[in-house]
Amino acid sequence: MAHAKGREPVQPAADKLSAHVSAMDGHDQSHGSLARSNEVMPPRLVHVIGPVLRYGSIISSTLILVGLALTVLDGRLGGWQPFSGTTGAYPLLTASPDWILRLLATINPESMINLGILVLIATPITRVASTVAFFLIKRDLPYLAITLYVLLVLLAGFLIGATG
Amino acid sequence: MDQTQLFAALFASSVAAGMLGSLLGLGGGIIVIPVLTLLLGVDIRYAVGASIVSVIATSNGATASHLKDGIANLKVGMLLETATTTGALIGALATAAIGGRPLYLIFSVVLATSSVIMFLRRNTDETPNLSNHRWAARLGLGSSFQDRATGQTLHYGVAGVPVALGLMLVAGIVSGLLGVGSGTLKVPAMDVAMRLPMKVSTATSNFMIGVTAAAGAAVHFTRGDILPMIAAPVAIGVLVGAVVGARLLGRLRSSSVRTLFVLVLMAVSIQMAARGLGIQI
Repeated sequence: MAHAKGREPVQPAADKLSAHVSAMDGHDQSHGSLARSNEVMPPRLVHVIGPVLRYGSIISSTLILVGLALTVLDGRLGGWQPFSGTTGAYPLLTASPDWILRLLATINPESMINLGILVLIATPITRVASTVAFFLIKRDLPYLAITLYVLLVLLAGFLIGATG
Repeated sequence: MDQTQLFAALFASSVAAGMLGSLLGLGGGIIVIPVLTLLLGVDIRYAVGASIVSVIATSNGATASHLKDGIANLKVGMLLETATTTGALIGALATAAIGGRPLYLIFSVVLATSSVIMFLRRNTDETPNLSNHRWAARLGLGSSFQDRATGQTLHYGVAGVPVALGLMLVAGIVSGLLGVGSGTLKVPAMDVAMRLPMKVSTATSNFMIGVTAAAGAAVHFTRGDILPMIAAPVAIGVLVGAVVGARLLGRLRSSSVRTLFVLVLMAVSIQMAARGLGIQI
């Protein structure tokens, strides 16, 4: 009721709006051609972002759960020490990537958890990178500029974090 | 409480933080930080580290599970991320220059004001704004979603884009400076400036907060602020809670989400005022 009432009086704006909308949820085909040319992007974008977030969440939580399971096997959960173990204080950008190997070589609860946290942190950054690739392929310049800028600011943050 | 009970308490409150966070577009730090500092006696430095893990886990989990519902406006999110990340970077660089305590007080006043404005806007939930700002029309920001609480498809426009970008820059600076306020400022900015439907604001905030937090997370991780044995139950608990909360968001009425948000905003405002006065909660 609310939407029928709301759409009528603002026809020029609403027209463009529903055209934009129809491609997203697949109905309202009356605006067909405009809809297709104007807005085919969002559903496909979802197909890019969705898997990144889903697999990022699954991989990171699996690693963390394995770490917690190892803690239980060690019989250490009963005497859970919030401050036990090394933190994730590894040189992220400054050193060669062999710290990941070192992390894997010493399979203990803490290193598994740290690896899981690292995947967790990397997931939103991978998500931004995947949208940059998406808009590059789509040759959608405004959104390519927008997502690329965000990625560059994130990288700048990393460099400042690593040096300062 | 023995250690196992403390562990269980931390896990349970992380589930609650994830649920509330994914419903309201917040990172969950408002629950995780007090639980860690007050209940477990963890130093604020490590509590903030855990809170950042909580923010990213909420963002990943919530967005992954309500992406198909189409509530979050991804284009609005991507556009506003330019301002939030820039602000976060400026805030991180300026940390040393500005003292924290007066800032907490200003933040508290801003939150209290936003909660009042958002309360006054409660009658807009049933009839969303349909007009688009010039930039919004150009970038195709207007959209719609199926509101499962009412069964209706809600069409909406996006107003006040430049104002929202400005507010997001400020939100980014504040969260960079204080390590808090990831969603508490973003949701009101989208609500008041862009006049988005409430659920769209919270879902879009969820989509954005992971990216803003990730920039700071690298710094905290390298510095050793993220303790694995604290971060593990927080990350898993928040993820579980965020998935549940994202399912709830679809079914709850916008007005209920708004009421809950206003109440939480007031609570955070009090929390921040206390910190400004030197009481660490």
